This record gives sequence, C-alpha cells and structure tokens, in this order.
Amino acid sequence: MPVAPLSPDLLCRRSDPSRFEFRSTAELADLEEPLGQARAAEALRFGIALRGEGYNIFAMGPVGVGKQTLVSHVLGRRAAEERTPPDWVYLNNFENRQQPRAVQLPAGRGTAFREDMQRLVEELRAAIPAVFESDDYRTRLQVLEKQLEEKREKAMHAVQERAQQRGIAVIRTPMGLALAPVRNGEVLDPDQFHQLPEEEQARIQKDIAELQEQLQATLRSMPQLEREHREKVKDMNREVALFAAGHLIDELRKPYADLPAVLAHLDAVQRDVVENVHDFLGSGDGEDAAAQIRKLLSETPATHRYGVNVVVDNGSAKGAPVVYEDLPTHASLVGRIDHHSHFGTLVTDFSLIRSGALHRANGGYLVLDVRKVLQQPFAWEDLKRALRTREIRIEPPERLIGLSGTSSLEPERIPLDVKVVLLGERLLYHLLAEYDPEFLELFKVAADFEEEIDRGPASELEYARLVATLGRSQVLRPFDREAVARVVEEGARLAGDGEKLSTHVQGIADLLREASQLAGEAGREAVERTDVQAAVEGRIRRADRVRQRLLEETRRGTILIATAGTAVGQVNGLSVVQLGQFAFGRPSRITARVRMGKGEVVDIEREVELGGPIHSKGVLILAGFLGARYAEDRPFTLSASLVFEQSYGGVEGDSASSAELYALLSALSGLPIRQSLAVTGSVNQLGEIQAIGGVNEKIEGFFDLCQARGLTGDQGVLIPASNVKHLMLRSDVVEAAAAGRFHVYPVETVDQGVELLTGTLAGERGPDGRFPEGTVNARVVARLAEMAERARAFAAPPQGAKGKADA
Amino acid sequence: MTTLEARALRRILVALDASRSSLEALRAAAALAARMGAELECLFIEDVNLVRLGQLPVARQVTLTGGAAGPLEPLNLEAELRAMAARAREAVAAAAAPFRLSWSFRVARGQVSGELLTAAVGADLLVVGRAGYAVPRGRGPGRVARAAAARAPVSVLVLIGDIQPGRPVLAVFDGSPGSERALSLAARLEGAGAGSLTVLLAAPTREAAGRLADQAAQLLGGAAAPAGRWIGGGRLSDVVRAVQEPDALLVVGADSPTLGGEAGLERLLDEVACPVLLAR
Repeated sequence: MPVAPLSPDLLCRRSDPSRFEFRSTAELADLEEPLGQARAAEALRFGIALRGEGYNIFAMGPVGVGKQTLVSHVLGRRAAEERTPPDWVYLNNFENRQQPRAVQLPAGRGTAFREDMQRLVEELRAAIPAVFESDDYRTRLQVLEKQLEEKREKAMHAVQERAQQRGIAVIRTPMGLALAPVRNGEVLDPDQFHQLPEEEQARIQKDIAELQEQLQATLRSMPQLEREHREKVKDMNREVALFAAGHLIDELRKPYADLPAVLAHLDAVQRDVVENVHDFLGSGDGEDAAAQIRKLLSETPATHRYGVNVVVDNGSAKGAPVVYEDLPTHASLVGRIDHHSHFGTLVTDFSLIRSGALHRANGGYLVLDVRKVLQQPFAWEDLKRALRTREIRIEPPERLIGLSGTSSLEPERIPLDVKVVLLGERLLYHLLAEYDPEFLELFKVAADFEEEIDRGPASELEYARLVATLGRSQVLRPFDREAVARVVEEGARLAGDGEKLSTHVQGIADLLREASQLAGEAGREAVERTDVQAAVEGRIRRADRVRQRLLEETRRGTILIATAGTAVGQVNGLSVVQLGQFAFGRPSRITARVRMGKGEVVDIEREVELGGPIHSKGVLILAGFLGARYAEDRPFTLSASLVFEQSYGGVEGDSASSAELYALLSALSGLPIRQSLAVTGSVNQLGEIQAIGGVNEKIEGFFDLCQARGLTGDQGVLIPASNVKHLMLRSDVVEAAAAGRFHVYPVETVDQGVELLTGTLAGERGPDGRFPEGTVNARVVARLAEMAERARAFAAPPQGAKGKADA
Repeated sequence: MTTLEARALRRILVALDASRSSLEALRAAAALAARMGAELECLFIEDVNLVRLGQLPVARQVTLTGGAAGPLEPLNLEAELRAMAARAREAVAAAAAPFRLSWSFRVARGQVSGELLTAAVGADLLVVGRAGYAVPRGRGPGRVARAAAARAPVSVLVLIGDIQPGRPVLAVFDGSPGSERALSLAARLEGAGAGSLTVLLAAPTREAAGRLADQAAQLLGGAAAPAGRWIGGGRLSDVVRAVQEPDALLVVGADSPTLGGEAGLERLLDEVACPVLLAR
C-alpha cells in the first residue's frame, strides 16, 4: 500500500481566530512578565533574594528572548524597595598626595560638601589676601625686614669700621667682596704700595688677612640671619593665616559634626592652608620669579587641592541603583584616572579620578552583557577581582600588566556590595563554567531562558497579549484577531514546529512593527492579517536575493536538477542554506554509482574533505544497512560512490542519508527514480527514516523550483513521518497541495520511500528468506549476488595454477 | 612775571654697571626718553679701583656665593668686567627696542663718580640707580648716586624704587628760581604722559601758600591751574612728611632754599621712599 500524501490541514497548523474573544489587541492587558519565562524569573528572584557571597546571576539564552527586559523588570521592582546607598567622594590626601582618600557620605551630601568646599575656597581667597594686605601685617613685616637689615648692616659695618681704621676698604667686585689698602678713597696702585716701607706693607698684609677671616665669618653668618628671618616671617604668616581662615573652617565644621571623616579632612585642610598661605596671595611683588614658576608648575593648585571629587552621587536616587553598562571596558567598569597636560607633561590628581559602573551600582545591581565584557581587555578579570575582594580598586591597565613604572595615583579602595547580572548565550555560560575555575563560585545562579513554549489555546492567548504589549510599548496600531492569528502562526514557523511558539520577542517585535507600518500605508486603523502576511513576504523578498539567483540558475540549466522524468542512481536531495536570519531550502542532485569492490561505500564529499563528520556517519550507516539487509550470507563485494553534484561548499548533516540510500538502491536495482520527487530524512541501520531539521524550508525550496517550471501534479517531497508535526508551510504550498498539484509524503521506512520513488514494490522476505521476484529488494539482492559470484570467479586461481597446486 | 619755557630733554644719560638697580634705572630712562622723544646715552664705567685690585698682590677677595678667599686674578677680573659690559649693552638694546629709541653705549674706565660727572656735561638729564656694586651703606642711595645728585651739572633722576608710568608728580615750589625750574620740569613730565601734577607749596603761612599757588599757575600759563598743596613752613622736614607715597615722583630744585644745600639733599635721599628728580 503506497504512502498517501498528507492532507492540506497537516501541512500548516492554522491558528483559529474565532477562539479569540477580543476584537483587537487594544482590549488586551499587558503581559506582566516576558512570555514563557517563568523558570528564568523564578531563578532571578531566587538569586536576587540571596545576599551571600557569589550569588551573582547569569541569565542565559539566545539573543532576543527578553533577557534584559525580564532582568530590568525584576531588578527594578526589587531595587525600588531597597535603601538608597551612600555617596562617595575622593579627597586630596594631604599626607600623601599619591593616595587620595575615599570618604563615604549619606546620599546627597557629597554634592553639598563639594559646594561648601568651593565656597570655603572662595572665602579664603578673599579673607586671606585682605589680612595680608592690611597695614598691620605690612608694618609687622617691615619691622622684621628692618631687623634683618640692621643685623646685616651691623655685621658688615663692624668689618668696614675695623678695615677703615686700618686704611683698608671693602670693595664690591663682580665675584664678591675685596679688601685693599686705600688712600683718599682710592685703591693704592702697585707702585704706591711698593713704595711703602716694608713694615707698613707687612702690616697691611697682616691686617688684610685678619679682616678676610672676619669678613668670611660675617658672610657665613648671613644665611643664618636670613633663615631666622624667614622662620619669623613664616611663624607670623601662620598666625595671620589662622586668624583669617580658622573661623571660616570652624563654621564649616558645624554641619558635618556627625561625619568624623569630614572633620578630619577639614583639620587637614586648615593645616595645609596655614602652611601654604602664599597660594592665596597671588603673584605679588614680594614673590620672586622662582616662587612664581614653582606655583605655575605646581601640579595641584590651591583651588584643586581643597576640592571634593564626587564620584558617586545618589542625591536624586530613589532606592538601590540598577546600572546597565553597555560598554564594559576596564575603565568604564572600575573607573579610571584621567590626566591633563601641564607644560607638556601629563599630570593627575585626586580630582581626575573618574567613577566606573561598579561605583555607580555599588549598593545595588549591575547588569552586563557577558560577550561584551569578555571582548574588552582586562574587563572580565577586573569584574571577578572586584567581586572576589568585594572592593573597587582603580588601577591603570599598564600597571596591571606591570608595563609602567611611572608614578600615578593609588586611590583608596572602596568597599563593594553589588549583585551582578550577566546576560549571555548558553554557549558562553558553559564555556566559562568549563574553563574558568572562578566562574561558578562567583555566579552561582543561572537563569535559563526558554526559546519556545508549547502551543495551545492558552499560550496562543498569551501570545496575543504579547502582541498587545509590544504594540503598546512601540506605539503601533492595534492588531485585529485575524492578524494576531497570523502572528501566532509565524511564531510557530519561527520555532520550526507547529506545536510550539517562539519566545524570540525581538523577531516578533520586528514583524509587528513592519506590519503596523504597512497597515498605516494602507490607511487602516488596525493591523489585519494581510498586513502581517505582507510583512512576512516582504521580509523574505528583501532577504532572498541568493535564493532567487540559485533558482534562476537552476531554471536556466546551469545547476542540474530535474523535476520530471526518471533516472537511475539519481535522486533530488534537499539542503538548507542559512544566510543571517534567513534560511531557505535548496535542491541538490545526489548520484550513486556501483561496481564490484570490497564492500565500501565511498563518500566523495568526505574524500575531498567537503563533508562533515555527521554526513560521513550517515553514509557509513547506510553502508551498514545495505550489508546487513542484502549481503548477510555472502561477501559484500560492492563498491559504491556517492556525491552531491555541483556542490562546491561543505556538506554537513545526515538529512540526505535516506536520499543517498535511494540513489544506491536505484543504481543496484537498475530501477529509475522519479525526478519529480525530492527526498529528505536520515536513515538508521534498520532502514527507518528519522526526523531532520528545516523541513519547512526544504519542502518550500523544492516547491519553488517546481512552481517556477510549472506544477505538474506529479511533484512532491518525501519527508520523515516524524517531521509532520513540524510542518508550518507557506500558504502557497498548502494551496497547491489542496489543489492536488504538489504532495508531501510522510515516510517511515526506506521501503515506503523506494516504492514511491521507483513505482515498484520494495518487497518483503518470504518464508524462504527470499524477496518476491521483480521487487526492488529482490533486484538488489540479485545484483549483489551476481557481483559476489563474479568476485569469487576473479579470486579463483587460473586452471593451470590450480592443477599445479593439486599436484 | 613771565611764563616758564619748558626745558627740552634731548639727551638722557644713564649710568650702568649691570647691577639690578642700574638696570631698573635703564628701563626707567628708556620709558622717559620715549615719552620725551629724547636720545638715550648709556655709559658703562669700569671702576679703576677694581682694575687696581687685580694688580695689587696684597688685595684679597671673598666670594659671596661660597665664601672662598684668595687673591684677585687680573685676567679674570678683566674678563668679568668685559662680560658685565656686554650684559649691560644687551640690556640697553632690549630696553630700547620696544620704544624704537635712538641709543648709544660706551665704556669708560676711571673713578666712577668722576667719569659720570664728566660724561654728564652735555646731557640734559642724568639717571642713576639707587646703588650699584657697592657694599651696603645703610638706607638710601649709594655713594655714586649721592655724588651725582650733589655735583652733576645737569638735572639728576635718582631712582629709589621703581618708576611707573602714570604715577603722580609732586613738584616742590617755594618761589625760588630753582623751584621754578623744578616746576617747569614737572610740568613737562606731566605733559609727556606722567601722572597728574601736584604742586607742593612751601610757605610759612596759608596766605603765602595761596600767593605761591597763583604764582605757579601763572608760571605754567595753562588754562587749568595745577593742584596745589600747602606743606607748611618751607623746611625740608615738611617736604619729607608730605611725600609719603612710594609710587610718586618728587621733583625739587637742586638749589632750592627748601632743600637746604648738600646736607639737605643727603637727608632727603635718605628719608624719602620714592624717586627724586633734582632739577638744574
């Protein structure tokens, strides 16, 4: 009994719009959570509730199933109920500028502290110069300078007095001070000196020697005098500065009395202001050029030194933060230290510390795309280190790898309390679990997102609510129930299964947007079924340039595929080509040739390394089937070769193994195969046809070719019977089948398939173990027996040789 | 009484020894020459006493930087003097360039005061710094500046502190011919862009001061009478008390009775904190 073609209702499982009680999606409420992700949502809630170490979450699933939407939804609700974390500021460390201090303040007070310090600096700038420019200060300074001048003069005067008494002058030279005998204010010339009595000359020499020592002692005492003077001026400046600044800083202490860290900082600021009061006095006349240059070159001018760098400001936050970092580089995760150019040199200070996502998410939640984290140098290691040590450490990357010896900042580390949610594909989760020993310790909770859900009346209604939710969020036109039914069907087609619905929200959302656009262009208020259908067709049309080219070349005879007539050892196989998100079926001619040999089936694709391992496995299986079924009791002397004609790329998968077997059986039996049929399905060693993937695309691929050449009513595709539930064929295929112009045959065994293809009974073994005469199997057995006999004859020694041996 | 004729300043002589105060004098002189349209003459004097020091084996030198002592090497000394002269010449070129002044530079060797006084003959104004390479001798200008102020045949500007454009000009007027010259010079400075002129009226009574003010206004012949300030009885102490602003420029007649001769001049130079222009 030949296999009957499938009835049209089995070719595409329609959604019945009459089951929907709504007229359009405008009547439906939004979905509260992403469709079909109850398990993932439960895992997320579990992970969020557990505060223990390492209970970070990995949300896994393919792109577009709504991972980020669900994570944001769940985290957002939870975070709103939690307390707002504190602000963090970085302050100058007056004891060690290289190690800025991190100070925690209640939420919102970081900015206030920064403004207070700015105001303080402005007030100091006004108050300190006013005191230092006052008459009192000037008078005190003049008194000190006069005292120094008098001491200097007194010291020099003593030398000059003594020299003058002995007729010797102290004269300034370009290098220093000289001692020489004078008469009437003029230095003696050498002649005058030599005319003096020798005793007089000796006395002058002796006096000059004595005076020289005295002069040296006096000059040596000068730096000491100046040092004492400077100390006195400094002491006075400290006193005056404290008078000017002390009460201003005291005022500022009051609002921060509850924050010891701030009070300690204000103490340090006061000490620094008093010690460096000249920073507030500008480049006055009293300041020498060297001091001005030092000030210009100073890396931290006064205005910066007393500033407050607010790295985390939670002033306007409500609840705990939920941060999604789209570009998780090293710097954007743990923060960075900026530099600015100062007289051609790159310099930095505490005010150039910039926060990262970990700072902003501290006390809350950080959501990251794991693929992006892994793509960024250092980011993955930074993230793990922060989670392991529970603190944020800002270090330049060059220091992390030990490349740089230049001095930079080492900001104090900030304690970290954050829950990280990674979004990524399953492959990445399993790779990390396999190869990174720390991964499972740090990410103990996995939230696995479903890619499809079971299809039934309830889930179709949920799908309708998904259409309503997405439509509202993207401000689309409402969808009527016919349109919703078409979307449901497309959801099943995306799942590749008539009994499932895809949860790939992104793909559905794109379809809705495009359908809504088309409805708008047609002037419709609501989206109708035709709009969804047009959107689906439009997508295919935009993506199918390659398919059309292949089809065209097949029609033109460049690619040899027959859709009519018969041929021995030749069958139409079907494969799927995936180009981005678009997949289509492509017929391929598979041929088999047989000859006498050693029981091998040669897979030409494998021989030239164009066939993958699964394809090779399929070929070996069919060799096993052939041997077991037809050559159980005699040598298997067949040598066969199989090839995908005109295939220049790789071939992978075993979905063509049944087609290859049919080609072999045809070649062995000599029975021609109907070229109006195409075949897909894998075969096992028992001759059973097994399910394959992409059944819809494969059928449509052959249908398109047949339709292009004109449907004859004789054409069709043999598919595994176990694939019938996956059928969600295009409406034109279904319509052709309904009209009897195209057929889809569900096949369970090789025998069913070969009967359809050859029009000859396969035949079953009788009680005598033989296949009925004229059947396909009998012909195959006979051919193999003939080959075995001939092989035996070849293997038998020649007559002469035999006689010799017998003798 | 006739109107004063403003005395022209065509040649301004500056004494240089590459010390900081002489360079300040140079800058002030350059600015003044630019305002007056005068030519700048610069004289670098190699002190003959320094030259002799190098030749005198008994002379000893103590360096200021290290305190090391030893004899002076004549060759080193000569080289140092040449280097100082070269530095002074560069400074002159730099000071004159912004004003595009006509300038000259020459080097003389001899007694500094003597050479300076000799060179001043023929100049219209001599500008000297507060103190050159001399050992500090207490407050006020040094020996050379004092000698120039007392004995130069021309007007002398002694720079005590810096001189800035726009600073007020204070002229002492007691009715004497010397104070008339001072008034004339001060008026010329004011006209050339210096600050506003105030006449310090040295008279025993307010009435006498009023008469002096009228006399000054008449002498200047301007439409607007200059500001006048009575400073008391015409003694030097009154002038010193009246000139307390360090940023003023004091103009006084060298032979004005108020100044009281050379002793008075010495005292004035010791006690005022601003530049003094002695008019001759």
